[in-house]
Amino acid sequence: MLSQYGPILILIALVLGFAAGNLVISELLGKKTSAIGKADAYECGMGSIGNARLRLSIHFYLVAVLFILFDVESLLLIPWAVSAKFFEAQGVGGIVFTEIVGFVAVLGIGLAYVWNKGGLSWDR
Amino acid sequence: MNVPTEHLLALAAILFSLGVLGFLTRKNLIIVLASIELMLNAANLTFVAGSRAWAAEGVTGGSPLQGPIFSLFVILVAAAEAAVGLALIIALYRLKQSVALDSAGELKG
Amino acid sequence: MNAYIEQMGLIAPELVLTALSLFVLTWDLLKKGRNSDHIGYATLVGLAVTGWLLLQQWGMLGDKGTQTAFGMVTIDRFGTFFKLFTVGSMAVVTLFVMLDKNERKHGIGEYYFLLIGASIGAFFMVSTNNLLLLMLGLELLSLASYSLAGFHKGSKRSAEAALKYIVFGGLSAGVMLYGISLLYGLTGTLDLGLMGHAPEGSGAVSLATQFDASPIPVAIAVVLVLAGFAYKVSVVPFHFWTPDVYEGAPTPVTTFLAVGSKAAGFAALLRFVGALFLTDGVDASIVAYGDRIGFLLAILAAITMTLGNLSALRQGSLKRMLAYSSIAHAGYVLMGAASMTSEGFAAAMFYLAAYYCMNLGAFGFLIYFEGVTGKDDIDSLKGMGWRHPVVAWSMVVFLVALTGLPPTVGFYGKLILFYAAIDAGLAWLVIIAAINSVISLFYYFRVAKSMFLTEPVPQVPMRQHGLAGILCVLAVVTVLAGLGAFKDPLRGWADEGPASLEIYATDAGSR
Repeated sequence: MLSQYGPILILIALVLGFAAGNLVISELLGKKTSAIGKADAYECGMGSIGNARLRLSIHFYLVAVLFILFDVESLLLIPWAVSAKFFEAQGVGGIVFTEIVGFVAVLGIGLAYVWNKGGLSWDR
Repeated sequence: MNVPTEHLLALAAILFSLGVLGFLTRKNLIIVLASIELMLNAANLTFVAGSRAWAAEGVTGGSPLQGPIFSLFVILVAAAEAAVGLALIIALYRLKQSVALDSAGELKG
Repeated sequence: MNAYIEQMGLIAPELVLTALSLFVLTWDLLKKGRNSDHIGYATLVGLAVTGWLLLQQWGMLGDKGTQTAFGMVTIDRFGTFFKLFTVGSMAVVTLFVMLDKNERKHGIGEYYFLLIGASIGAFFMVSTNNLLLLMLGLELLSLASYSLAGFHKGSKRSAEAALKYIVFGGLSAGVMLYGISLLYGLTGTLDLGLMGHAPEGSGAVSLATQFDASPIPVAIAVVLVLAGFAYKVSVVPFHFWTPDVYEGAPTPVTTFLAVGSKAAGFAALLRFVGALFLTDGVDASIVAYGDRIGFLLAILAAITMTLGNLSALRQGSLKRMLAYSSIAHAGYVLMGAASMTSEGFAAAMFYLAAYYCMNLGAFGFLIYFEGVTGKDDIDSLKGMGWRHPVVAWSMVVFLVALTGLPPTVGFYGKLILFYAAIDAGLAWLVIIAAINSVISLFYYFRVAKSMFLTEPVPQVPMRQHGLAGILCVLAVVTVLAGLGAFKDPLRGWADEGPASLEIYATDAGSR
């Protein structure tokens, strides 16, 4: 009974570990500064009090669009993951795995392109 | 407690009509893009509803997952289209300081 | 395992193009946008390899197509025919970008990358019987085209063209996808072969069966999908974007939109209509509703060619005139689809091949002319005939071909289209098309008149020898393709296309 839920337990452990790990790593490695901005409730670059109709930097938009694109492209891994077992049973698991590696490599080239063009740097 | 397929199809048809209506009546380019997204989501809903209905009848032309997978791809296409569309809107805004469809009036004839 | 790799070999041309696109993008990154001529040459080499692979494939394919990737990709002579011409026109457009002095400063790596991306989309669009892949190919082609139309970032006209293109393109994509989702809901399959003719035990219901049970939803779904195609090939009433986008986009991009993109749209349209409604040999029930779709297409064809030609008459800009002329030509090609016979489809394919030659030439002339004068209105053409005789005479050949006069390929293409339409009982449509050809003579002749019969205006005597050479070659091809030695093989190719399509449609269930 419990063994059926084993994968879910592992998933929960992974998720918690990832979140906690990130916090710990940033605590250990991050540079510590104290400024007025750091004390804000939402630390995302804008003042949290004031007129809502202010102009935003175009960078917010750029980062958001890049995030959406890579986020949605990784959606395509789902159909692959669903059919991977079928292909392995057919004896072509290796090829199909190579294909998905190719897909991720293409995404990687896209990321390299964005990086190189300065899409990810905040102050340019 | 199952939602009948007819209801889903009707909802999709309403969403689609709202999208077309928004496209035809609104002048703000961002809202026009949002209307297009609405139409794409109507297609998604129809795909999923159709897939469920055929699976319930035991009919699967090829694969039972065709419908849901198609809607995954539609989501992908919608995101790509929105990204390109918004980028072009910003390009136009830089030149004209406006996001109204009417501001695009350079080309006529 | 080996069989799997062998199947992958069938999409080798597409794989080469994909690798080429990634190579171009990465190389541009490493070079930081400098020295983009090398990237242009690399693109040409890649296109040549793709073309060679396609020719090999044409030789290996029999009358019947084969499928790969679990039925997603259909490789047959119909698709390969269009792919060959797509590669050819891509190569010419690449040369235009490299040789045009206006485009050279924009001709950075992304330009080629987007052009190659658009042709990958066109490749998959013409070689699939599955609506999912068809939609993905179409979207890839469209998204690349939107970005290309807005490539001149500082130009208001370019930005506006791209925006109009994506707004109407998004609408048509939404309409088409909703239509596809309804078709899926009605038949339970995304495979056009099964949709047209579902055998026992295939787990799908054919569209004809559904049409007998509930005609209205089927009609709505089919019309919605056809609307998406109509947008892509700019058929009235989905043509609004065409003149504006063609005018505002950079001219090499306009060339690609008018030639590559439109032909790919027609290929997908023919495949869709062919799989679902082609009347030769399938059930009688399909004949009944296929004829109605044929009639609808015939009416659209008549309106499209008339409206395109009448609007072209009153254009002052050569670019806009060519845009309306391309709408009119969409009407002619649609005649072939409307006839709903293999003969008509073959005629449409032949005419599209002719259309590639003559429109590449006409737009090439436009690029040359813009390079010389910096303008695109017909009045500024004055004296071109005396100052640039080679280019001007090439343009005369293209104009003769576009009008549909002998001895060019345009004449012969129209002839077989007319024959096919008469055989299908569409004599009234042929009469309208003939009247339209006469109307088109007026505005095509105006260009020639402006070039030769008016006093030259003072111009900078600038020459672009590379472009002039390409135009010359295209003009020679346009004439030769209308004559025996060249015409008959082309005709043969075009005839084999629908043959593979038709056999495929009837046998779809038996694989």
